[in-house]
Amino acid sequence: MKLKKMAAIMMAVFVVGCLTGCNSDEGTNESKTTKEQTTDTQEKGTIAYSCYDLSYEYYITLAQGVRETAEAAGYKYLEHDEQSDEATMISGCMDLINQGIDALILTAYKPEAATAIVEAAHEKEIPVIMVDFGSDELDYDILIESDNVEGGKMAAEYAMELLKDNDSTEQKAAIITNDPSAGSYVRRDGFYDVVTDEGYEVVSELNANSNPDEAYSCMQNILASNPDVTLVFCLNDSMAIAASQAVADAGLEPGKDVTILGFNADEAVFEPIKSGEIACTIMQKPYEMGKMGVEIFEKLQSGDVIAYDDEENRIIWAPLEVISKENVEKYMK
Amino acid sequence: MKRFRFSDTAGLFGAIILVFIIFSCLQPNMLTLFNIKNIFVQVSITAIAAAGMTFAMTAGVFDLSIGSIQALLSVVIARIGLQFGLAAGITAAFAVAVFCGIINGVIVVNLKIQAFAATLVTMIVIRGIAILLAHGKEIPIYNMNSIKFFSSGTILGIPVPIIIMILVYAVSFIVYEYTEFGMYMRSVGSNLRASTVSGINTGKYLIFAFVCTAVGTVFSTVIMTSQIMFGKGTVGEDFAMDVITTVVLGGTVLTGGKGNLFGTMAASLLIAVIKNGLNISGVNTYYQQLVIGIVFIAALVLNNGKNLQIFGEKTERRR
Amino acid sequence: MSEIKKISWNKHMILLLLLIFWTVMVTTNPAFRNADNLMNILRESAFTGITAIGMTYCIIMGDFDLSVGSMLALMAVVGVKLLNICNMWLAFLLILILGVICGSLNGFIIAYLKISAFIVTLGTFYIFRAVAYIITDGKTVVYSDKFFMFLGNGTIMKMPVPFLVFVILAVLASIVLRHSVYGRSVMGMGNSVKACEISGINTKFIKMSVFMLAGAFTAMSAILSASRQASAGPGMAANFHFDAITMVVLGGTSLSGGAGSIFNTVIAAVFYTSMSNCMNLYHVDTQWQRIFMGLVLLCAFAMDFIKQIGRDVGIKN
Repeated sequence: MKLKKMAAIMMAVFVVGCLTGCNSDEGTNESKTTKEQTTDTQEKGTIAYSCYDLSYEYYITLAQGVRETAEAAGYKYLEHDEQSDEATMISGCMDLINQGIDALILTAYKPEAATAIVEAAHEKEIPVIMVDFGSDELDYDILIESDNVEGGKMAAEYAMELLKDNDSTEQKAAIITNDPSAGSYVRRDGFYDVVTDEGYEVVSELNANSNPDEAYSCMQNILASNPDVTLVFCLNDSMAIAASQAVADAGLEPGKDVTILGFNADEAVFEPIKSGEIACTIMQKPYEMGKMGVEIFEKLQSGDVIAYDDEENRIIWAPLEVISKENVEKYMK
Repeated sequence: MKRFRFSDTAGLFGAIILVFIIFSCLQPNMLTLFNIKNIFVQVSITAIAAAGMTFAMTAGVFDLSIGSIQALLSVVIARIGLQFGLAAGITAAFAVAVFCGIINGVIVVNLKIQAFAATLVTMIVIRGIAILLAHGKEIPIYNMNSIKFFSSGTILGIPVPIIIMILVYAVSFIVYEYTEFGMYMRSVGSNLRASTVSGINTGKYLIFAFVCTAVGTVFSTVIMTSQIMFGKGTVGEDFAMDVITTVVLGGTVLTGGKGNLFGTMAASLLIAVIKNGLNISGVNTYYQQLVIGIVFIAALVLNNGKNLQIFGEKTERRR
Repeated sequence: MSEIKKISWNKHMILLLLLIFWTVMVTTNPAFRNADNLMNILRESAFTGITAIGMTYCIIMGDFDLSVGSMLALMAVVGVKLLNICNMWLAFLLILILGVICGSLNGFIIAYLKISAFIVTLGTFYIFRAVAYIITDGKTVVYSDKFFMFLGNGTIMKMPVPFLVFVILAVLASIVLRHSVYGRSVMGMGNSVKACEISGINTKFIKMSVFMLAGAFTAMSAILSASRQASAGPGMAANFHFDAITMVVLGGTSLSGGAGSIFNTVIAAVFYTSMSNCMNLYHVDTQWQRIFMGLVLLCAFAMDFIKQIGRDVGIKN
């Protein structure tokens, strides 16, 4: 008897949990009651977006771009968070595909693992528009991405310009990276090429796994092993901010003694840029990329000719911008 | 028969000096005051939480959820601190930590679920709550400069984290050795049944054990949050492992009853020196994890293995 | 007499839950009752379910294996690397052997050095994962041969291949558990190791062998998972151990050991996957999903405790 009661309680908790889960979030997900059918009556169709990891501000903005453009155009919007896990990516996308969506916009956690998804989607004649990360092996319809290598280059070039007039600086640089299999890893390539061309030596390259707490200790260790390092490139902003804290805590002045570069243009980095602690960040325009995803889908549907930047690989580049002291005010709220 | 215990505290300190010398020969930059100060500051984060965990393991339980508690606390400090000031933030963190500890304790005591299993679950649930509370984002506390005191402030020239660590250990040691509370913890850990029979409210002390780990985590979180100036729901993924490794290496016995606070302190220093040395030598973080994992297993085997001689006489220990 | 009744309650419990759940979902949500979706549920349940079979043996014996996720990642990356350089079936064999080796590492320390399984597998959880990262230098490895991909993604006679493998393995495992001396020894050890020792069973070897089994089953999960993704990354299967343990415990296998059923684990695997699928269909926020699954596991643990009371009443220890 007790077991049956437990089971009944569990079911009740489950149903309540589902309803709460549906309605409790901040509006990033669609909320539906359990009775509603998923057929489209007045709507044009459904656009689904599966995202790398919605705990990063960058992706939250991207998702927002997709959602607002899709809903404005009259589509229903479905969202899925891959939580930085390829198995979740696959199961979630398969679930979406089985729900009869009309388009799959995908920011793949591991693009190489998405082969099955693309095949299943094409079987149901659902176009797959990849945003932010792609892979040569995949048969996606279109890829919209920002050139991460170019972004690294741009950051490095800005830094070189900044430090050019400062003859007394040692030419030692360091890089704080993230997971080598992440698409954003290649940012370091752009940076590396530019600075080594200019005569800098990259004395240290440590992996902080995109975590600010690890980046903090990495920076401390870089300073300990190379006290004369003058330039540090962090592959994302939260690591850059943590690194600048480490520099400050070490008694040095971030911005003067050590130039720090970030990437992603998170809201939190604008203050440090304005005060000079962080030299610059690269803005990727995630909102626009999301928007472009939906617009491209509409173009595909209506049969318009699409202007690729890279015809062979069906890639469209998204714009990048250097945000530094000069233009940061424009972006601050 | 007196077994050689690898974690004889003197042995640990010897190991620390040895490792430090080896690394310093390879990387002279390790010997700088700057680096040594760094080591101690980094140590404080794990060591303080490890003091709490030592109490818990003395009472015979584990707490796998401290990493998630750390994440939750960092978010709490950030959100409440930004709105109501640092003092309010830290007070709220203490309140939340005690609450988490009580929940863990109640699940173990009242639902009679083993500590491992219970904290395996709370680890996941608390992290989910932490991420939800942060709305999935990072909460920058750039403007809350008062918190920097806890990471870069100094009192009489000594960095604050180190002072906090010394204070916590001093208090812990006194409580452990000289108070009734410490005695009861040890009693509950070494023989639960006997303790219950002799009238000790074992349930209460088990719950206290989890509150200890949670409170230890508060200090660690304040220092860590003040370092990175963020509240984030995804920090501390490896924290539980680091802390448990530290306590096990320090000689606290898994079966409970015998905690070794000095050992824990020495062990956390040893691990910090190893990590620091590896980092400065530019070794990949993956190798660091491997080293820590192997150290952990080695410490387990050497300290807790009941059958160290497989082919000879067995030295069975009764549970 | 009362003990037999308790066992049949168990058998009906999870099956009952599954039937109720499916009935509710099928009638209220057309997306759920979509044939592709149901096939997907069966397919997804197999990846973790196969490891859960091995885990069932562990838990029946009274132990845990927290390192299965890391083992899977390690075997998947090694496997994919091997697939790129040698014959496919040879690679599969090597992965299986690797699984047994990893499992025996766990088993040796647990059985012969008599250290609690929880804590040992907590350590190997980190070691295996670190090795996986080191071998691949953090990068994902790829292998997209058609036949290989078929294993994880294909269907035979409309049934997903992984699910068929799952069922076959489950049947075999169940037969071994119930009808062989080995199986009965495992169950006996869950009840009382001392009693087994007295009756002459080499308990240490059996304990170690169960962990080797867990490793072998995980190897098979690894092959199928890698096939599903046509690749393997060192960070994969991060929460795998949680799912596997939940499936076993939901199936009614008691944490204190001595009783369990592979059949129940299979049902629980399908149930668990169905719940997860359902939450995806209703677009429940992922963090809430995580919290909810945690609470489900807690309930399962707690139910176990309640059953324990029932059992203690019936049998004097």
